[in-house]
Amino acid sequence: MGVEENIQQQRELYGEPLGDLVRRATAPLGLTQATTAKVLGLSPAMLSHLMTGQRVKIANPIALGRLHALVELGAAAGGLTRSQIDERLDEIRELSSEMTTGARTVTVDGGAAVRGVLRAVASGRELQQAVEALREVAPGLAEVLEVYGSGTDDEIRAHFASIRHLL
Amino acid sequence: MGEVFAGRYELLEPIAEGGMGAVWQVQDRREGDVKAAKLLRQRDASSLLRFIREQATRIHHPHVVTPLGWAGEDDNVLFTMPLLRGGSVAMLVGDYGALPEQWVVAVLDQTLSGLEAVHAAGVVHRDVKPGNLLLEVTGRGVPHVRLSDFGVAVPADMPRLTEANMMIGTPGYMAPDQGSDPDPRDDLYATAVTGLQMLTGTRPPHDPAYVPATPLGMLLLRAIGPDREARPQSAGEFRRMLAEAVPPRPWEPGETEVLDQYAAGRMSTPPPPPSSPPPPPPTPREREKTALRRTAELEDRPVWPILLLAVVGILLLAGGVTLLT
Repeated sequence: MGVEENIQQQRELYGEPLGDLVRRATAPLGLTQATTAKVLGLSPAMLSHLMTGQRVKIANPIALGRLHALVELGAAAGGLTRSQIDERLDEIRELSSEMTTGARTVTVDGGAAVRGVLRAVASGRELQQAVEALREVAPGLAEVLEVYGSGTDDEIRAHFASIRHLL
Repeated sequence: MGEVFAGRYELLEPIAEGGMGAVWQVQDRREGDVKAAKLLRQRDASSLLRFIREQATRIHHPHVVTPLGWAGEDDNVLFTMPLLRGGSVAMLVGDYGALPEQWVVAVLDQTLSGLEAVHAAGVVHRDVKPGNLLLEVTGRGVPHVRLSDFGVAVPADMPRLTEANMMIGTPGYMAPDQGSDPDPRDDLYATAVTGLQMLTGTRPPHDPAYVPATPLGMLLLRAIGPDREARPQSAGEFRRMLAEAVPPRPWEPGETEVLDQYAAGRMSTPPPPPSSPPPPPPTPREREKTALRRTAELEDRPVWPILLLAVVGILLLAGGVTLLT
């Protein structure tokens, strides 16, 4: 399969080519590609293959969860000090060790995935308007939009844990 | 150009930081090829003793990394090994998460075959874990694993040089009932934990509820179960149990692939070689961060014994110097 085709598939999967996505997230954080690989828990060769379109998908769901977190951190980097960024990078790197018990894995991954989906299709303002519009019609759905659209990581984890048994 | 060690080995790029030494990619100027080299960082007698012991552990087997040679310069020493370009099994799990069963079985069987040779030589490895299983570049074909890092390995019958109740290994991969005497069965326990890590894509401890209830999953859980007698008692027995649980099948190439980790050349500008002056003391903030990270990384680092017989070490140091000159 050609690189062009792979990059097109990445656009469909991740919204943009992974090379662009990773560079956009890491440039404001001042990360080299080698450091980025360490933070994501990917091998240097794998990150390079993904960023150049030699490979389409991030196979490890935990690494994908870390990339979500890294993209968020990159977007927020302007308002953070160097030490706040480093602290958060350490947390992202450690995401895997938090996930040693299966329950946590699903909690963190599932929550991050839902948030990723919501934020990919709507702005914060749109989400807030949707929450208001839905509150009467479908309160459960409104809560989901509110928590995953604008809640903190802890709120998302708590919500996901509360519905996990239904999944 | 990087620093040249002993007039022969140019330090290219660090590969990994170990408990007592750093592993670097080096260019051998005499033979013209690129090798891996472990550099001794701590220079006290006990570290040197372990270093000498490690480079002397030469088990020739297709699934064991064998040291090639060693060199010294001033008070620094290094020994060289073949460079395995495929990275480690830990990197493979990082890239793909849970691995297909045929990969888990192949890696386990080869590791156990290496351990058969190690144990037959009277040595206990004591630090089997995904980060110490290195890979040849085999793409999507059958992987080729080599057991590496004999830094804490010991001859099973050698008088202990550590404190009587000192435990050695990496937390998470050590049997809870592990004794302080080196026992080959502790390597088998660590191999089973490694298998569970490959099977689930997560680090230990492994919750049995999240291990696939397949014959392979059951075998690995039994191998780390509370009943010591129900666990495999030798690497050979473990291999037979593995073959019974998962009968051999033709290899089916899939998505999982061992990539060449060194194909792109240098990833970054080389950091200063280890012999340059130490960096300035960290600011309070940095110190705190290092401590944090160190705590978090405990899972992947062997626990190092502190106490050794200094006299033996000094004797070996003297011996070492003689060898070097």
